[in-house]
Amino acid sequence: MYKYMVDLPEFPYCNGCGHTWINKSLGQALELLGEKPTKINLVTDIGCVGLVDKLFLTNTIHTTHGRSTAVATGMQLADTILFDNDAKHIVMIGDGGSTIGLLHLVEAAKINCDITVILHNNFVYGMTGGQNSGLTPEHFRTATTMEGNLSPSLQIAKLLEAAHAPYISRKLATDRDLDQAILEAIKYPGFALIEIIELCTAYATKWNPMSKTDVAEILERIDSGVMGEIVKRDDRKTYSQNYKAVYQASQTEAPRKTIKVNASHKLDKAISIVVSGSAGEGVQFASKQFIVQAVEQGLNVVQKNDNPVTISTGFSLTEIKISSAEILYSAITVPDYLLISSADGLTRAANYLENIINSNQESILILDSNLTELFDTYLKQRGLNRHPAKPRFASDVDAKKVGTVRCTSSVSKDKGNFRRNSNKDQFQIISDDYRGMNKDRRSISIEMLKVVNQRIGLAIS
Amino acid sequence: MSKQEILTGAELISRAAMDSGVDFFAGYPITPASSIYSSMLSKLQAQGKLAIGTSDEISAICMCIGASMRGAKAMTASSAPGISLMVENIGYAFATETPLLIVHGQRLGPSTGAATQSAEGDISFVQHLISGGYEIPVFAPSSILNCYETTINAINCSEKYRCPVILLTEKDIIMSSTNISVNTLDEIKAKSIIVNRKQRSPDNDQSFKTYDFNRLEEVPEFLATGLGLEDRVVATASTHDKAGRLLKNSAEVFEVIEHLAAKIQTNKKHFSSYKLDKESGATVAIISFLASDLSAREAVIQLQKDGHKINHLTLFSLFPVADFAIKEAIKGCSKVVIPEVNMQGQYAEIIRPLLEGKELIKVNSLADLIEPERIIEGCK
Repeated sequence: MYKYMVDLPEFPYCNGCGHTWINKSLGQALELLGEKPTKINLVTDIGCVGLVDKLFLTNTIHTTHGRSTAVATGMQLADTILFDNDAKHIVMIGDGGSTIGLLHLVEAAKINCDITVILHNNFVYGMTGGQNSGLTPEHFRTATTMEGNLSPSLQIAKLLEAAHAPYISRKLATDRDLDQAILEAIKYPGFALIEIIELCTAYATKWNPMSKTDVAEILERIDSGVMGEIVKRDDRKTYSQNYKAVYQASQTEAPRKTIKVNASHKLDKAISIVVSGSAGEGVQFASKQFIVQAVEQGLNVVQKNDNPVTISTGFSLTEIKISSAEILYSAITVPDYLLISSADGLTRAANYLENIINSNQESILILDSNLTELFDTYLKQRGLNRHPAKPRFASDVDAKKVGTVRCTSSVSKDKGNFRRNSNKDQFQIISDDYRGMNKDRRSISIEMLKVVNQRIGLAIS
Repeated sequence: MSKQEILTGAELISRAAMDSGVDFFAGYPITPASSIYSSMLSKLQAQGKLAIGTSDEISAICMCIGASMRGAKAMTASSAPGISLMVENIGYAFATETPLLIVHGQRLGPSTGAATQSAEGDISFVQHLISGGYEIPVFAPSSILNCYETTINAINCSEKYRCPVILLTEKDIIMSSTNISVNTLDEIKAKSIIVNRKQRSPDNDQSFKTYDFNRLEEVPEFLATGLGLEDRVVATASTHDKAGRLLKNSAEVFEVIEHLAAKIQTNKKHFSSYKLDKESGATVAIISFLASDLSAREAVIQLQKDGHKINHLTLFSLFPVADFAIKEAIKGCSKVVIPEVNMQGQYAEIIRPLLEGKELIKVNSLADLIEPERIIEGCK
């Protein structure tokens, strides 16, 4: 016979407080259960309910307010899934803890972890002066609702029923068979809530009539007076059972994708490339392909992606740096190559364009032909002109800085295909009349990066 | 040239976690830490270990704590908005001496800030994350590659000293990819030593106390909950004696509180992680960390080419401050340059008292990586 409670326990509660009855009943329930005390994890919350630790000889884990359920959930899942053990997890929580940590109760019920929650519902925050809680019934007088509580109490049992709690019961702390009811909840293989209605003799009974009839009337208002077992389902597997069925150690992880280096390409300086387009154009995917090819050629690479938080719409941008030497500082202010495939991309790349225009560095711009008009507007706003206005000829973007940014427009009528311009000018327009997210546009970043590739001289398959 | 892999910092953090024996991950997605979340999920599930997505960050950290008390090596990852939600229970993990790794992927703050913009603005935030003025160890990888080694060091520290540890990273490191030589990574892995918390021996016939120690800086032996053995665990974050009994105003309670601080502060020389490159005759020292260290390294190369002598201290752990390393780095120097991607020069201000008599040059930016030229300028 194991011992679960200390000898001659001194209950630290007020006279008549329901916590004493619940503690005694839990002790009796554990004796009936007969499990080793150190195979029981009593996880306790904050409030008077959290004074229980010193009375029990089980493992006791006193937590933060409302979080007892979440700590017990993690502990229970680890216990069964990682260590193949079957320790019992019992949460001691009050009505205050149940609302501050409501989400944890909902979550534990929903996933169906094998814990038992003993909810001490005395309708008030007892430890801090009898203030109203989320479970205070309507019209109930508390330190903060002396004229009567203005709203009805949360129906926690119904809430957790809606969260798929497979076992829910409700008892009075004074019920003679409370130990049996607690035992049933503990023995239930899955999430079990037992809500125990009790009196806070320090506050609740001081300000409210609390005869048997009064309590019955309150219970009627809370949940039509339903007591005893409210929910008992046998159709739910525990989270651990579901998890073990799906995730097993035998599963093999995807092999590492290694890249064989088959050349040692030399670059006399690091090259920076910015690809700026729209979601759905394969910007980041094409860039990844590009850096893989660079690595195959013995170069070092850094790739950084950027997109709005809504990943499937708006701009998509990639910064690529490639170098023969180790890449340390990886930011790109003035890119050597700026590839813009969409209006979103043009807007997003404004800072790079600005930097190019203001720098003495020679950069190469590659633009989609759709953007000619937009780009001209952009230049005009800055008092710059594309020379000459007609495409196909080399010109300087910035008339004031001859030779800094050169541009050529090369228009091909083939939809989606890029034809490399025969002259060596540095601003190319790729023809593509498609707009919006179209499958064929996925190739545009790849085509643009091919131009860069040809210029750098990487041997690309 | 050896075979290469293209990897992100997030992938390397996850690999290091797996190699360290992390078997429990609970998390809630947030940019830029989501990549660690998804990577840990797939890795752990493939091994039949436990990974779970939770309803919020409070659930995540609490589940990690529960799992760690049960004996798992637990980890979570988030960014400042999520770390803010975790704060109460990071303090709880500290007070209950629960090992735990919390990865913080920094993005631009304050508050929700800019989710996809990297920054280093949470340095002072993580220094005093918990109430009572206590520091928890904060590690900080200085590059994508360094994520591997520093993650292992962080997890080892949390296990050895039974405390939560922050791995402070930033979007620019965890979400950027670079090529890494398979050989290099294998070598680092081969050299790594994995530390596990010291367990209560089942043969020990002395009475067990959950928080027992002799010397203040000693770490109590760990006993997992729910084993069904002779000894029992009595865990609490409320002021307690060595047996975990909730007490106030007892000498032993104060001793336990002192112990919580001492085990971190006294042992910092053992777990602080840094690299110091000293040149004789140097008059300038650069102290750098996080992605700003990459800018600093590039600056140092250029400065040395130009004939300057520089001491360069790279910190892989930020808190508790490795004052001994900083003192060594700045010895003989008249100027100290500290680059940081935040407006205030947060770390520079924290260590300013150590730099008395030296000229402190803070090189800062709100969100962009520091240009090496600005560090070079600061050194001249």
